[in-house]
Amino acid sequence: MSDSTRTTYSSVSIYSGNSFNDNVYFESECRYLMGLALGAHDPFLADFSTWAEFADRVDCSFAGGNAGEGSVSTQFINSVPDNYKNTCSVFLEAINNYRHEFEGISNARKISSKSAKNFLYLIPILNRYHPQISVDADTGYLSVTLSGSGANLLSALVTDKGDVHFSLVESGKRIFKLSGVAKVKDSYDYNKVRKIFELL
Amino acid sequence: MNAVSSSEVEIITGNTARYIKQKWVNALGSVDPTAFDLRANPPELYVSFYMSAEIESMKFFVTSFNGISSKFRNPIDSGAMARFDIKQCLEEVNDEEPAVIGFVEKNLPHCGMIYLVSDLTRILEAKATLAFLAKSNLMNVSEIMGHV
Repeated sequence: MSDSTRTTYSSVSIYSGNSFNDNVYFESECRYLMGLALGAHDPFLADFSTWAEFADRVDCSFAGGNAGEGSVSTQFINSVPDNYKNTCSVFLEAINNYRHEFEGISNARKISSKSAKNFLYLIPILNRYHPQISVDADTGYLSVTLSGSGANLLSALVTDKGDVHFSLVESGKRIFKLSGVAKVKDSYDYNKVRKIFELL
Repeated sequence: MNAVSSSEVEIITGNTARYIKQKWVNALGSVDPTAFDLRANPPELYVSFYMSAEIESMKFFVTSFNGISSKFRNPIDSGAMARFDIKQCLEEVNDEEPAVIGFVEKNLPHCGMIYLVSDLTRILEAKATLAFLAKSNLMNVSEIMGHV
């Protein structure tokens, strides 16, 4: 990847009216350079670092705070690269559906903006699949389910802290299950979460 | 988290149904584990199921559909019904200590599934297991309505 082919992103917000934080610029540059170095060996890492640079700048705080308030900005979806638009649309649809379902219900669990932000880093990984994305009503965290070619399924839940809880369930002689938690302390390390989805 | 209290009657056998909204089923017939979330309308303490003693599959789904749809304000015309063997659910989900789920009577034939732990991984695994079990015992509402 040469610098001349580098995609640059402007400030974006998932929701209308949210401000954009430019303080992450230096960190994003570091991510980009790191991705450039690693991308020589793994094209996915180059793509991921470019996406992470974009995701760093996305404001996922939700206007109003209560489920059912606020409206999704088209600015976000217009800003994402074409190859990620479908997956990002599924992501936004999940948020919209949840907000619509709980519109006017004051005691509904709020969507965790930190979880949504953390989830955003998984887009390049999920883009390889056909993800079912939802908001977990118990916690307000974003979750994703992938169905395999057989009867198997993999479900993952991204917390506000950044942890990714996952569970693979598939048929064997009995039902086979593999579950655990990935502890992600830096958003760039979400690239390693692809190992979970490769279990499917 | 809940526990099966002494005032609740636990259910350990029998067949039960859950209504799966259209948005929880994908084109391949896979069920989204969020179908087993505790919703907040008002805050739920259990996930609703409907017991039926009907053995024959279509009779089971028709009885369950009629029972569940009578509780809805608007007619149900989309989504699917999933059939569960409670004994199998308990064995497959509660495969380590402490148990993750339990079924309790909630004015039968209505019953509730409660979560007994707060560990996120175990709850996610429970929901994924139930979604997995649902896929093999799922019938579209449109098909059921043809027999109502």
